[in-house]
Amino acid sequence: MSKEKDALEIIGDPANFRSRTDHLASLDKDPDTVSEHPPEPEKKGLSRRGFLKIGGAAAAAATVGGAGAAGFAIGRSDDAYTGYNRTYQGGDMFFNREPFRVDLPTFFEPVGPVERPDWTEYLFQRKHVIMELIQKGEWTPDMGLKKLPGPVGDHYRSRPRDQYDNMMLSLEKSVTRAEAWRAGKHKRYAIADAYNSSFRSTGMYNRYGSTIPEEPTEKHMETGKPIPPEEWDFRHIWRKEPMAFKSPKHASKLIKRMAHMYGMSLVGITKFDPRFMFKGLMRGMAHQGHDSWGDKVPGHWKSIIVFGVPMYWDSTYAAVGYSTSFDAYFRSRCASGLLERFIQELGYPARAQFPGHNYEIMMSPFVQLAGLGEYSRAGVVMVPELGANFRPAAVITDIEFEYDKPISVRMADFCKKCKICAKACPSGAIPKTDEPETVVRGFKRWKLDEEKCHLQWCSGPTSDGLGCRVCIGVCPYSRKNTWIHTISRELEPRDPTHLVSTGLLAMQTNFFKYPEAEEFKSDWDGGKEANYHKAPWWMRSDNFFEIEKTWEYHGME
Amino acid sequence: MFPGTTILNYLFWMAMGAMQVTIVLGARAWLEDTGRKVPWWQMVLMYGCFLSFTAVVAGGFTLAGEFESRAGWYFIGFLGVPHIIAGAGMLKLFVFKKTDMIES
Repeated sequence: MSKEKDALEIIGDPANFRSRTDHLASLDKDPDTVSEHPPEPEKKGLSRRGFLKIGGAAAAAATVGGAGAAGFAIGRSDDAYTGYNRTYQGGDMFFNREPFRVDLPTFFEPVGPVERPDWTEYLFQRKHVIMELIQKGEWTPDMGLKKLPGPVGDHYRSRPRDQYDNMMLSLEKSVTRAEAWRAGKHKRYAIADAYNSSFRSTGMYNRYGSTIPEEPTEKHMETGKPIPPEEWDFRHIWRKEPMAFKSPKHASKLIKRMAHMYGMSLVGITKFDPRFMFKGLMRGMAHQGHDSWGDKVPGHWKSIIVFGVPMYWDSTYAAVGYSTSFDAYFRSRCASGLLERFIQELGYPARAQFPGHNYEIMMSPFVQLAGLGEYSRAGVVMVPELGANFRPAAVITDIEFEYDKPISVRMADFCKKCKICAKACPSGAIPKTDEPETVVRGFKRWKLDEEKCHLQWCSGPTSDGLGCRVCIGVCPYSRKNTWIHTISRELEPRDPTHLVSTGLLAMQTNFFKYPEAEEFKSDWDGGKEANYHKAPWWMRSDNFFEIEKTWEYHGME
Repeated sequence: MFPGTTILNYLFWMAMGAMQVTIVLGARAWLEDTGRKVPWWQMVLMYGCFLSFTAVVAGGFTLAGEFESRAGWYFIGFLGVPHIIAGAGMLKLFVFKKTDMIES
């Protein structure tokens, strides 16, 4: 006879402990035993385990949906618009350059004697002189190249004829463009042009005395006296002695912070290198020093602070007609004037170099030397955060800084394989050779055909036609600040096998759709006025005005 | 995710985290109830594949958010399909394996 158990023994017996839903375990047991302990009838409703199973499946689906929604929100967020940040702390400088510092920027090893650029090599200086000759009646295009006087005539006569022909064609296209504008383009591009003009005519070239920064050429025109840099660059200094910095490192830290305070996304500082200063060009001197300045270098030009901001992303993607450089030009120009004054208030000489054409230097090499970016196929500098969508300005001074070193993040290497900009260029101005082959003043370069590029500028659909920017919009590096592009930017320069760049380029060329080069042109110039991205909603005049829409938008939504 | 709010973003990501716990516990409960034994490293592989697929979806929609919808769909198509194939392969090898059928 088996010993009877009392209640406490039954409760305390571990054999009586069993998970309520452990049905599978019970199947393995002896049927007799099972009959002794029949499973409790299942309660109605969802058990804990049932909830976990169904909930888990639902959570998996919700995770995928939530990830998609979060991704979309990140892409659409204002935070993706690099350079249009919410702080002044350089929060957009998400790319850590320190692992990529090098002594020389890419393609900066001279392959021949290095020559300083002459002022005639600056296209807008040439154009300015030509326009002045035409306005004064001293020369007209029908007189031909042979009679084009002065250094500009010599410049064109010493180069392939098509460069001069393209400059003349640009002038003709400018007339056609103005006619097309009056005939109807002013409706379609009403907002884009007004946006552009607000910066151009008020922020950049205001003639009523409120222009920032102060400009020595204008002062010279007012007074008729030459104003050399030894005078102009010191004009606001009131201290007997400059405020002495604790160290060059402290100087760099403060000035970079101030550049951010003035709204600049990126800033770098380097030693002034006279090799990239124009000869025969000094604002404030008679005729901008074309006849008198020669190759002098002011003694106090020791350091250069280079900074800049992006052009607004959505309009850049909608080049040609809906884009403008003047938004970024205006911001970097203002910052240069403010920083120039700030430095002079501390007792140091300073001279702003700023857009549109207020330079004594070539900006691109200094952007590279200051470690902000790298040389590109299209001739413009690319920076890791903004790609080619970057518009710089600078201030030259004699402050001793801790200089930044150049960087190599293999963007120029990527250019060797990627020819997206060259294929999309409506004017065919960008070379398509794998390697840079042309020696320009001692350095190997992909030589942009400036006259061809300018010809396209003058053939744009807006009132001033100043700019094209297709190469900048389509560049794979001109992408916003989202995690997916950040991964690409961080991985690519660290991959010794170059497989990442190959994969990224394959995706870029196959996943993204670009209009054909010809389609970017104005309709009166044989194109469709297509864009890489369609115009942003706020630039479509048919969204806001009582006008008849007579056009189609071509490009990605 | 929720522009202009200060709390919803945090709640959203907390919910996403909680869902990951539910996914893992739910999978474990289902495996136990169906008598399947899957080693931890196979679970990690399968969950990693799922997370990677989720990242692909997020990437595609990030591109769509940047007004690059075409690239976004291609991105999901080209990178997502291999994930689905790999995931199905792992399910077959690790979960619905033949030995389970014999044992059952």
